[in-house]
Amino acid sequence: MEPPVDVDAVASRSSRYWMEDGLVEILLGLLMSVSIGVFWAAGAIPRGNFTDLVSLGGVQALWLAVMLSILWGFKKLKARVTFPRCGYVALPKPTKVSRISMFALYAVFLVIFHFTFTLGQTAVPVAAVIFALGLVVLGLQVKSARIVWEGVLTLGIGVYLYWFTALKGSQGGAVLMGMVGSSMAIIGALQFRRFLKAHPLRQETEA
Amino acid sequence: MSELNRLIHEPARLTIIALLSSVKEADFLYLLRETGLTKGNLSTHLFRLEEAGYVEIEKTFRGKIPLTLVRLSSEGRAAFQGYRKSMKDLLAPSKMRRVPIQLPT
Repeated sequence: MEPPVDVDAVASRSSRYWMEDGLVEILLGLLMSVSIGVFWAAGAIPRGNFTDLVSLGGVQALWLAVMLSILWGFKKLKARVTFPRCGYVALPKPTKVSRISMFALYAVFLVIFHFTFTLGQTAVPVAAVIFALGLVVLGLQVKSARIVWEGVLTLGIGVYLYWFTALKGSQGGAVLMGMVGSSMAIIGALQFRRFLKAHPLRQETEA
Repeated sequence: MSELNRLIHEPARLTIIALLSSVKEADFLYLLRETGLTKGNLSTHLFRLEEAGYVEIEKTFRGKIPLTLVRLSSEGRAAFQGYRKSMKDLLAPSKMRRVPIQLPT
């Protein structure tokens, strides 16, 4: 007797559905490139005793406000554009185990990232490999070739910065993050445009 | 040998339940798109599942647009897990029935 439906494949569709419109890539791309932008702008502000925005926490507050605004915009766009076209799905709240494992993963990522910047010359390729691996794993998990290719592109950007520019250390890492973020946001925007064309607005009329 | 839940074993209903098993809730439009069923067919299957207590259906409005939210009940989740276990047991090689083949002499 054969199972009538591949249950695991069907159950994994919901997480793929969240990535389908490209909004998640726009979100991640904006979070990365805007973070770099805000801290770069803060570095360009002349420092004074009372106007030191960094020590007063102004930059951090600005960064937090920008991040929250981007997240708010993402949720609004999902609700106004994606859900009326292809349907609404609420993913389940993460379990305690998945929260702990996610936190452990973040901690490992931060430690690796911290050591990346102490590596000096090799900071850019190491950061590129970490970003690329993250994207490839995510792409394979949600079965999205587009995200896997974004990982490959990240590696390409890392190779380019390492071999063809003089950027090193934290400066090189920041440029890499900005370039990867921008490229992700652009690819996400193109995907979002394609998604809108492929899925005209539908309304539920019968249930 | 474990018995298969016939209500869930039907392909369309199994797809609906498998889809709902991985989400907190989903609307009619999403299920329509993912299952590829017609509106009438999907409604009928949802009604059968609701009757069995496997799904909870909430009819509401998003602005002026009707919105039907569907979620798997705890009974439905348990039934789905039971179904998967039965299916696994049935497909396990050790439990497969071996039928001796008699060759003509």
